[in-house]
Amino acid sequence: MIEPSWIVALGAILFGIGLLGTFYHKNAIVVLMCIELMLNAANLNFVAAASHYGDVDGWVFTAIAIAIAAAEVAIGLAILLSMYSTQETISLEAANKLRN
Amino acid sequence: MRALSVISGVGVFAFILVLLREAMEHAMWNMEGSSAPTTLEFANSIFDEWSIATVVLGVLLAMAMVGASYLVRDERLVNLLWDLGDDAGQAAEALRTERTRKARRVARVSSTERETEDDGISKEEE
Repeated sequence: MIEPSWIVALGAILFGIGLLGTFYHKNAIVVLMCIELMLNAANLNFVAAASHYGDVDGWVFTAIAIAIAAAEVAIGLAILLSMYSTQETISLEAANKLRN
Repeated sequence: MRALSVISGVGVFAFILVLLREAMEHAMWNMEGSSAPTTLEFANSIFDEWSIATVVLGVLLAMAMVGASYLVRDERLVNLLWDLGDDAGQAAEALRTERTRKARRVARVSSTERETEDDGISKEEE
């Protein structure tokens, strides 16, 4: 079995990649994907800890986080579609208004 | 701006390194672990201990789906009429048919007038 510390290291690397992508990209879909990457890195840590300690709560937290991520992506994509229909771009530089 | 970007990149990289070191060398990984939980335990936990959270999560997901479909609604006239029901749709269809008929009538009248004018000009030439 893989040592949990290595799984946590992978989670940290994925979190860093997501953080860098969120900072450096202006395309809203890429930013959304990077946020998902960070969420999944956190989920990886939960699963590693749950497997190490034999506690099922980490799995439950992961399931809840995945469901919340699904809801977030649905709303995010809907906002992006709405933004594209009004501004014809999904660049985050164009998203400087809270109203159309 | 570019310098700020480079500094933030270096900062994030350093943050990742610190995170890696702290995560991998933490004392909790040296403690003796127990066996991984089973799927049955997971199911029991979701429906016993975390049942309220599961229900709240379902409500949240439903709200998210409704909100997403509201945000991406199409506001074209044909869809709005379809939303209003059969009567409005039939009225719109009748209106469209009437408009088409009127447009055809106007086109026919104008073409007849043009033919008449052409006949007049040719008679004058003769």
